[in-house]
Amino acid sequence: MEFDTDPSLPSSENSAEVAENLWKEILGNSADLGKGFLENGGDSFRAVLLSSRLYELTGREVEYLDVLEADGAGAIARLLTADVAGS
Amino acid sequence: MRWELSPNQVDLYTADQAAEDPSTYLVNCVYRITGPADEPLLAERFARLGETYPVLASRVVEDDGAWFLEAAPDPPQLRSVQVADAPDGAAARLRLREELTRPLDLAKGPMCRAVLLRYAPDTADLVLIAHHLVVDGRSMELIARGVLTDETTEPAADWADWAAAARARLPRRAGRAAEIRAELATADVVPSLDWAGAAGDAPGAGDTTGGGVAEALLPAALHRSLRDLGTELGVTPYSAVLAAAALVLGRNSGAARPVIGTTVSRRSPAHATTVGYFNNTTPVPVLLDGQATVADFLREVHQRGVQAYRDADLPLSSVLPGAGLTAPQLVVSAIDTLPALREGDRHAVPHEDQGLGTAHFPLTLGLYQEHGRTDGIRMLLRHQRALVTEEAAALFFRQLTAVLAHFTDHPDRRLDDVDTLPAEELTALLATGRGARLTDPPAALPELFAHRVREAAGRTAVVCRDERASYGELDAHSRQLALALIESGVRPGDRVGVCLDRGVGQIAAVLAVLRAGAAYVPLDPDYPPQRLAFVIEDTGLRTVVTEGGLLSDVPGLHRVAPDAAPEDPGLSLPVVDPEATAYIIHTSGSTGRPKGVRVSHRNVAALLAATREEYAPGVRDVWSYFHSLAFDFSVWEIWGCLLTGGRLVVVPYDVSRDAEAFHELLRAEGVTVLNQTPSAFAQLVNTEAFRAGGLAVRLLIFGGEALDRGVLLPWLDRYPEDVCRPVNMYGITETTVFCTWHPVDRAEALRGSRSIGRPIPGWDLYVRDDRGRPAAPGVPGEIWVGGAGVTQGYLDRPELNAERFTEDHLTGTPGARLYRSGDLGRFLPDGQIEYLGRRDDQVKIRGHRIELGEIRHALLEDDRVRAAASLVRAPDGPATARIDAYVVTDAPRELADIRQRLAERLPGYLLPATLTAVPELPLTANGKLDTALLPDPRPAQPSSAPAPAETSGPETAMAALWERVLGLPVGPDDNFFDLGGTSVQAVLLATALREENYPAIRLRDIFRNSTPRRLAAAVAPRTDA
Repeated sequence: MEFDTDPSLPSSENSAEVAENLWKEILGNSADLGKGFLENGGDSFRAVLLSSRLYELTGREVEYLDVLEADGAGAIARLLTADVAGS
Repeated sequence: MRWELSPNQVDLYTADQAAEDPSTYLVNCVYRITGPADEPLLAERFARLGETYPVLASRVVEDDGAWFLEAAPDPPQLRSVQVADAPDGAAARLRLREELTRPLDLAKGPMCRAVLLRYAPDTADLVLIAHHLVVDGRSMELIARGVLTDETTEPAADWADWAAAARARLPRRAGRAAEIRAELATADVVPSLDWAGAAGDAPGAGDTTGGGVAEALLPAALHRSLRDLGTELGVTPYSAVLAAAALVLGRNSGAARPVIGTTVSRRSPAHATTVGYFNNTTPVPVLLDGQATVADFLREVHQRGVQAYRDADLPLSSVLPGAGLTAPQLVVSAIDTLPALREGDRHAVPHEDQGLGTAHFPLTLGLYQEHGRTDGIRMLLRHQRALVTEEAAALFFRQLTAVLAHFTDHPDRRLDDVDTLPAEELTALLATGRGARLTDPPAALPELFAHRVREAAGRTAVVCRDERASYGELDAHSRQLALALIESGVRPGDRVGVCLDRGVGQIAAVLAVLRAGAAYVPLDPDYPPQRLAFVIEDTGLRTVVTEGGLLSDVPGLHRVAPDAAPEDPGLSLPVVDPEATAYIIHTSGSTGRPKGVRVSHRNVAALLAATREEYAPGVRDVWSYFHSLAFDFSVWEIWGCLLTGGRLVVVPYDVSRDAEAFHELLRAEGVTVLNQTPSAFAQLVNTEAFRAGGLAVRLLIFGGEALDRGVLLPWLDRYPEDVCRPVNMYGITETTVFCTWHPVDRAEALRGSRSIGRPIPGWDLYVRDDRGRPAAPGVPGEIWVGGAGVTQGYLDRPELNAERFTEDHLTGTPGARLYRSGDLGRFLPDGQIEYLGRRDDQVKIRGHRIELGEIRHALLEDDRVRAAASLVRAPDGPATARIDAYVVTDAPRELADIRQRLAERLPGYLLPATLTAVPELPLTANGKLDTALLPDPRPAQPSSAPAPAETSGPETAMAALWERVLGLPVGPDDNFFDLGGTSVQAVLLATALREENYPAIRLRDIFRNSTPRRLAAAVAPRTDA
């Protein structure tokens, strides 16, 4: 799908912060940043929620499945900074 | 401005056109408003929604084989209605229901409507209805917010862009679609729902009963353990439910690779505030590997679910076989919950689901998405009533819960160890199949006979033509012969053949063999010599009671005449052990050589004890002895009579073959207990003499074959139930003649039923799945029999005995054994057992499971058909398998019409390839249908080349129309789907037909009657009327 890409693409530090904040917002304050989304008790519903919030905050679209399969908050940050051209 | 439908919309549009009920695909939400509604404001907002979300204000137009949405002439409008009833009053609810079920006209638009039902100044219901074609669950929330709040959310991205992108992506994904199709080709795409249907349902019967809905709750503790297990294994609770649902469906359907659907939302984050239909139902093939652990199974299903999500851009119709007409039997989907909305003094709270009597799939399991809820998972179970009964839906949910509990309790166990029933139901199920207990001590038959002799030696025991013998005479005669046999070397435990024509002497001979302590081996003189030679060799016979030239050419056989006298009449007879073998009867089975079944005195005595109270056979009863001594129905006839003091009327072989003569014998002798196979009985009621009546039968017992609908009706007209009780008895030689009984009343004779009732006292019946575990109620499995009737097993077949006769580990009774019948059956909700045919007889033709009984039933529904039979023949291997049907009819010239009417009642795959009229159905010596003697069939239809006479028939006009739509030559018997017709073309065809002279045609008519001839036949009456 093609959508206008946000001109102010998040930088990597920025991404890490957004990812970690959302990780705790969705999975709870005690969520482990270094553990997988599912291992933290995440489910499909929370994955959709997280990807919606990501879009609201950054304008970047991340597949909810990629959130579901994320092995930690770092994976979300990487998804945010990944080159999306051609996806 | 117009937008072409997206691929998932095309699927939904087709489904909508095919649906029985035009409101099937309406989506609604209802808000209860308290406080001032502010109607003008709501109306203004609702009208504006059509501008914000253009799909809501659209309609469907067709152009050159494609469908588009374009602006509808009329914009969406909110109406306001004053309801003269309290909220939730009967009238108010009725009114609400009306609003919810009124269809939307897709061709006219708009795609939504809103009604404010005002009950009081501060109480109202806001009813929002939209067609599923343009909304999903999230859209309904957007619509509700748009009307009930001042949040104005302009969508970040348009629906049209999403639809265009989805359409554009499709060609690039053709390869993946082909891969999925190939994978699904090896899976069970349409697992059987037999387990969920009502008893005795004829195919296609009663299919307009709509949909049901049931709420269910997975309890909090289970919810918690599911979360914990999910966290541990890396699977979502949703995936675990998907896995459990697949396991239950697979087990219930007997499918090892069930395909279930899951509804996936392809709404992207950018479309979070866009109204549109973003869903797709996608197939998830699940492999039920019994050896896998639960944990591995859950991970596997989760991965499958994830993959299905990734492939959810492919519409269902592009990946399932059957040109988009196949749908999953079971779909799991998430249900979005609606928020309560508040604005100023106005509070709006959503109603619970309205359950409108429609269902998109046979069974849909909806999981509510409730963020933060921890006290359980709320679920909604929707089911199409025609396929899934209320009981079956409730059972499914109990099974699902039991399986999930097992998953969380024992993730390391093998999948085969997971029971699909709660433990307490398993126990109850075992109890259901157990007949009442018997208290009689074991007894030997000579001992029981001696009681009758002592009671009244002078009473007549046996009559055959002009010959008759009293109990005393029979006693003396059999004693003489028994002594002669002993003198000739017969010892207790030996086997002695009886090869005599039916008659007094034959009965005395059988009794003599038993009194000598030996087992009798019936050798019916009317059986082919090879068969007799086989039985003689198989049983190692050295002594045979016979006369005349019978068996004279068999070497090494000691022949004893039935009137042989002992040299020493003073000898005493042995005391016979009840555990001794009483007889050996050979059963043919469908494979291999015949097997001798060893049945003990105790077994036969138990059969009499089991029936004593219910049938109360006594000295005033007259029994016919109709069946061959080599068919164990005769065991019941002979001993049922002689051990209860009755009079046994021997039916000589020639009389048993001549229904008129048999009727005359029954009348003349005043027979009160009549035992018949349904095939033989059908001939009896067709006799001239039957019309004159005069029978004294009080107990009519059917055995040996399934009892067809209708066969009994002429009998009941003449002999109502208060005069004569008809009882259907199911039995197996290996478990002593009978296992169950089932009184048949008029209602059931009319309705038709495959019920074989309940076990007789002392007998136990179990229905077990392939793993040997009890199958859930309604679920087909193999019938196993335990209790007093289980015989001693096959003669000299240790391997077969080990396979068929096993230790009774179900009841744990020491020494007790179970017999594995090879028959298929299922428990009905009321505890009765339905017979579903032989395991080996399950035939499939082009992937469809064929039940020949259904075809016979459908044929017998035609008044012109007096008897019917059908069989599968495969002259050149399975690929050439076809169904041949035979009818006995007074109107052989109307065969074509009989076939036509059959076509209206049966789905295409069950329609016989040939239909042949025969003067009568040939019977075997045992009185069962003899398929080998049926003539070669005559083709029912002239072969595909249209005969000249047909060029002007309705089917020709129909075929011409098809040609126009499909763009290729079409013959009257060409199948729409074989011609490559797609669902889209089916919709176009329906439109074209409506414009021609078939105004009433529905899409489903085409699906069900997929050749021009059948379609013309199915719809013509309506246009003529």
